[in-house]
Amino acid sequence: MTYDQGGQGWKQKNPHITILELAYTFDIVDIPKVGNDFFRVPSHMTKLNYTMLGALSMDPIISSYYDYVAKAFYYPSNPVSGVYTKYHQDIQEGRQSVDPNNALYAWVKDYSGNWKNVGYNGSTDATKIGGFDFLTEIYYEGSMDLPSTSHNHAWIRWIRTTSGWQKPYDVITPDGSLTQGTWAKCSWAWVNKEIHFEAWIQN
Amino acid sequence: MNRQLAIVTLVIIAVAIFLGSLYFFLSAPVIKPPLKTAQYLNFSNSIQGGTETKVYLVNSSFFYGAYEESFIRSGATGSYSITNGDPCVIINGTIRNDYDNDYYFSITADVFNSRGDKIGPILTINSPHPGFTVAYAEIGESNNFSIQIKYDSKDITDYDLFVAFEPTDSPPP
Repeated sequence: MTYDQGGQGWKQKNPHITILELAYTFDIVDIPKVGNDFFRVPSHMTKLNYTMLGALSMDPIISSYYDYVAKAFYYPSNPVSGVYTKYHQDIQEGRQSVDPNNALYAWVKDYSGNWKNVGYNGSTDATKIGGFDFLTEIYYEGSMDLPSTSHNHAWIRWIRTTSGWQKPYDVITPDGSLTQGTWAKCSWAWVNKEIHFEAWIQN
Repeated sequence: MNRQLAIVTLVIIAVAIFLGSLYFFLSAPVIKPPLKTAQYLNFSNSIQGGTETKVYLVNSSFFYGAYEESFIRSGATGSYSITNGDPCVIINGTIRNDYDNDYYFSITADVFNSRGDKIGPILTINSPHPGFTVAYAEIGESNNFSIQIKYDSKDITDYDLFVAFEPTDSPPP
């Protein structure tokens, strides 16, 4: 199995900001999964000390036709479960949050407009989100067969802090540099104070 | 005259230190840990109490070597950088999937040196994050995995292999 990755991390602008929730919009246009290959755009959350909390990911998969899997993968000291829900259309909105009881939640909104809980972890030893990222990821076996004609898009529109919902630009800052994979490529930009992340495959 | 004598003395000391270090390096024994094989792997202690899985370890091998590719793992967990040629320990192995479904398995290892210290983190070119590697296996089928840890000594005395997370039908993000 071969893996390739690029991405960008973010953290709060100053230590007085407490991040509690991230609100996403997704537009997963490119669904080049073949066999057991994956091309995905996950967003990971960590504690303040960079220990992994978990990730929300949209995976296009093949069953009788394409399905989209909204998958939350939550870690106490290690990941414990992959909770997912299948949809026949691209999932457009998602949220990840922590609460004062150290619980983690992931929610996604389907095309019927219903919010569904796709992940939960009740004991994380974290009451705030220390950092998060967007990645572009490829898994494949044998030779890569992941034709790509379009870019996948993900946004963080809002961030909820102890001061309420705020625009990302006002509360976070890049943590390190943008990295590129060999084939998994990405870019990001501030757009209307929101994070717009793009991921694509460069053969 | 005294200055020349001092320089000669310093050169002799430097050469002696260099030769002594070289002798120590070359004469240091290369330790090889006992190989793990033919057993069902357990989960890590934090997962399901470390109970036994249905991942059968067919065999494993251990090497001292070097990374053959430069790569970076960065994102929310910080940044880890490997440079082509960095020394490392390598554990290769084969697992068999005895579950009743096709699964991705996250394989991790506790690797100990001669001082009893656990070395880490696992950083393998084909794995998404520090701490584990990923292997896919269909029902009843076997597949290979590789674990690499950046490490510049040859004093590994023991290692144990575990399944890091519950098996999943898609690879961990």
